[in-house]
Amino acid sequence: MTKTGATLSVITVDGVSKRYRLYSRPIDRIIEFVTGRARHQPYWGLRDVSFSIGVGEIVGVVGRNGAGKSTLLRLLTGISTPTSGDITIRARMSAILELGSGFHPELSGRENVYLGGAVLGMSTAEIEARYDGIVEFAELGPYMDMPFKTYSLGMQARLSFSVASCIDPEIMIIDEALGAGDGAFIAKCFERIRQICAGGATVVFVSHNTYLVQRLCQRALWIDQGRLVADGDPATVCRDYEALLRSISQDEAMARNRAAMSRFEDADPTAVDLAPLSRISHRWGTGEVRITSFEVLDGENHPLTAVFSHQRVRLRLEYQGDTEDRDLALVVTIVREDGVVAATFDNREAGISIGPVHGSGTVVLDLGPLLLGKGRYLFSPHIYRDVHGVVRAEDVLDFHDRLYELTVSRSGRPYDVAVEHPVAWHHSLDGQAQ
Amino acid sequence: MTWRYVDGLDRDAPMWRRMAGVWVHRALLHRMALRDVRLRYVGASLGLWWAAITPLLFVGAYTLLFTFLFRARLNPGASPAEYALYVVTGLLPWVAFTEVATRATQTMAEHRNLVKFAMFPLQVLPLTGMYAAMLSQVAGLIGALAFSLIIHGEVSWSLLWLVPATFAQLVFLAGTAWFLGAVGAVIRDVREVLQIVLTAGMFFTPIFYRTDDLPLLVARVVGLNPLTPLLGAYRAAFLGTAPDLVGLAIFAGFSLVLLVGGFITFERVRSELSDIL
Repeated sequence: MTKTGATLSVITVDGVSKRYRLYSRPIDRIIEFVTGRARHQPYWGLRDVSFSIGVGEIVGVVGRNGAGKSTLLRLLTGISTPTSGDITIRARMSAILELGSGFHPELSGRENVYLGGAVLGMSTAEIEARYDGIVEFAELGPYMDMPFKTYSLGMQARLSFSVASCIDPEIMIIDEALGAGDGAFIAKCFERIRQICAGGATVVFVSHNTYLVQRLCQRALWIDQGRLVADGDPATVCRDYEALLRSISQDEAMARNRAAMSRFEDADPTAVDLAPLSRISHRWGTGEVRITSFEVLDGENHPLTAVFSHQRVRLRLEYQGDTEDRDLALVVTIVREDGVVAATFDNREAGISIGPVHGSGTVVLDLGPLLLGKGRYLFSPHIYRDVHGVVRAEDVLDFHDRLYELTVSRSGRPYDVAVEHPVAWHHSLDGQAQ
Repeated sequence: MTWRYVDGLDRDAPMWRRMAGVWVHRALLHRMALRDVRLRYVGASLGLWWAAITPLLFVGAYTLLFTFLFRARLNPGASPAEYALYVVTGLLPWVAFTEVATRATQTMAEHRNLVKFAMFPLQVLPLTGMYAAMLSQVAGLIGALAFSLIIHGEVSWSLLWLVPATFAQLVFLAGTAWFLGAVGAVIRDVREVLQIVLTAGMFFTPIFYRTDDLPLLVARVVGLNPLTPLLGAYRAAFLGTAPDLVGLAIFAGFSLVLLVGGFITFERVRSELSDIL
């Protein structure tokens, strides 16, 4: 999926670190300036980050709060300077790091469009030429003469995005700015970003929302504790990232403390957990019942990793364990690469009950001719105890999170479709003279 | 059609090009300055008129106070109108200077969103205060010109002194704005110190008196004030007095040094600003 190397890179980040100086009192800054003796505590916002981004790539950046995502974007845009390392930008750039930069709540929407445009570097004539398009995209026609402060957060987000995206940049940097819009507007923003990308532009998009990153991006970077810990296809990176979030919520305080400590310079580096990937598990649960094997099979019971639509597919799952519980839920979820849940199979809906379990068992799901459209799919089989209506951590017996993969191809014309719907065509000619 | 973008990486350009960037971004400067002026009076029913009313009242009150209450005159027996013109032409550049200096120390903190989150040509920001202050001064000078026409009844060639005076003043104010913009953003205390300096400075600036009338020692101190020759040049334009040519040349040189020094200071601090604010 990633297009590095072969294509021309527009953003090259090479060994970049950013150290902030934290002063406990403002006067320390002056004393340090005068005496030359350090009176600050160094804090590493980023440490030794390297990557390059090619023309037209859409790259998502994920990571926890304070991981260094925003620091990275500020360095890319030149707002802040790296302490060490090189950043090369080979195109003109536009950034939405914050909603409504240059906007002022007391001024009207109209005035703010002109100011925001000027902040982005447009001349008055350019803004005038685009004004109608901006208002139309934001759907705020009747409100343009009202003060910006009277707008709802969603309206403010719409106008800000509309202004920022109207300048067709070669590189567009977006930080979390889409969060406040409603669903329909987010869809419009995606469309606009896709248009910008289709025009050959490169997009770097930071979000907490892994679903958005999977939907929008072809590549994902994961930053944790100021370091780049993963760089790859969004489905895998987001899965790993979500796994880390889970593992952290388990021993949250400890991990947070260690993460914070590791970024002060005088911390003992050996005490630092530098590889969050090692903390990741895509499999969790109490283990009372375990899924011992999961396979995707073709009509002749041969295991599959790639298949054509309309081919017959079966899923075979073996489990083993020991529990008195009745009403176990055995669920298989199929997630498309971009995060969309394509199908869910639940034993309870099929009228099959599992449990109590003493020993092992096999379940076969016959999917018949596969209806899934072209794409890469990940399977998450899991077993949990269905007693509370809400699934709590201790009720999950075994969860395999997106561990199995299947690539579906299309045998006919190269249409990109979500579902290969069964269809029968009927054609007749009415009243045509022979 | 061609698009221009704010060049986020212009910090890598040579110093002279960064300075020239101010000219490239003049439309932005114009808009930001107007925005600042409008914001100050937003919600007030007289709105933008306050931008004209406030300095007029201020200058008018001081002029009336010294001319009629203290009965001060330039020379014994001279007309009160001459003295009023003397005060106005001194007060206007002084007010512009205090305005620029005060605004410059606040402007970076006020626009911290632009500093931290936008690819904004920051060198423009301190100049927005100067733009607004010079607009007020021009309005005031037009009033002074009308007043001068009434009492003198003619337009004098000496008005040409306005050209070098305004030019030197712009250079001086831009240097002040950049320098104080940088220092004021890093050290907040500068704002408080500045208010004291400006209050005291008013008495060491020949606004209400002439340097010639002072005791020698005090005259020397006032002579050190860089604004003294600038005010002299404005007086030369309106009152036809002889300007201090050497003083004006020194002022112009000092202003140039301040301009370059102020800009270098600003650019030094600039890359750190987003981390400091």
